[in-house]
Amino acid sequence: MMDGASHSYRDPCLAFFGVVIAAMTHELKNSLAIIRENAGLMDDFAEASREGIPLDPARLEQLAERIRDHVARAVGVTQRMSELAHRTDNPCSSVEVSDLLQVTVALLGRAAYLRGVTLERTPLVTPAKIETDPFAVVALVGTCLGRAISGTAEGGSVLLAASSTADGVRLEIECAPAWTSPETNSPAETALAVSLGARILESNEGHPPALLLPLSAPIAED
Amino acid sequence: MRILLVDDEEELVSTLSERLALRGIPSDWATTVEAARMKVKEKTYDLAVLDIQMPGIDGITLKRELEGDYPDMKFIFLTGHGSEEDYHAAIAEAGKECYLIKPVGIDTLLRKMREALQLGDCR
Repeated sequence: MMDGASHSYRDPCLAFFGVVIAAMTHELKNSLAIIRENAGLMDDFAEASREGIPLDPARLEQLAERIRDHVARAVGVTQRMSELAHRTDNPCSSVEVSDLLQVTVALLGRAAYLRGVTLERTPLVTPAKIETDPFAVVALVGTCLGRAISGTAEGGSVLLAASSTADGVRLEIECAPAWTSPETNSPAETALAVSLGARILESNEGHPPALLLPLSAPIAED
Repeated sequence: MRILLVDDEEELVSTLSERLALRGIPSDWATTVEAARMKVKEKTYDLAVLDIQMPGIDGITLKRELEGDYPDMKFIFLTGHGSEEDYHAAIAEAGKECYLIKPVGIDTLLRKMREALQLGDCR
């Protein structure tokens, strides 16, 4: 029977996918609205010119540039959507951890903006590849980052720091000011981490738990 | 009528404001909640068009705050979010006719504004 109270049956990958798609469609709608209004304003100026009010070429150029800028912004959003979608192509592949983290941080950008929090990551000093399910890793790390953002006060910052170890790649999430009201990982998220062979590590007080991603996930060994 | 437009996308509200002006409708715009609060202290607005999802407080909370001080002000939500939860919260606040999803045509927005102010909809 489904547990409606804890939603423990919910697939964390799908839940993450839903949240980021909603955020990206919101961003797309904003860009489309701006494009629509600026095109509409150009129509208004054209109508005014038929009534004898001279057109201002510089103003038209400004509006055209704005439209181009927001087309570019919308293209950027669709590129992020495509990158996310294609992470599901192969549930077991060798991936650069830096690429996964870059994609993940980009996906959480709007959540950080709405919270009024700066989201950054430090790159891996040494590139590291792991054998894993790329989409599941993005979902797991993204869910942890999302929780960190929610638990950080407006004006604060969240930093995703990655470092290579003998066992894999360690991911630390540092919140400033200190993380408040921390929710614990749901059973489904914990199960996802286990499936990936990831270990949830003790954290320093005021920061979310760290994650250790193995060099080779159990699914890669199936 | 005097309109207040509140959305964190400056290029949206500034352009919308300009288009309203070309139609003889005076309006002001704000991209933050703090700026919106300052505007309503300076001028009287008949209707506010609010985005729901903004940094800081959401549009529904802002609406409650504004109508507490300005009970005659009408509200329209113009949002890109579109979740079930937001929809139900917004229509509970302002009525079904006063919830619009971006992008919306200016003629539709104008019609909604006029209906809200003439018929007393969009509480």
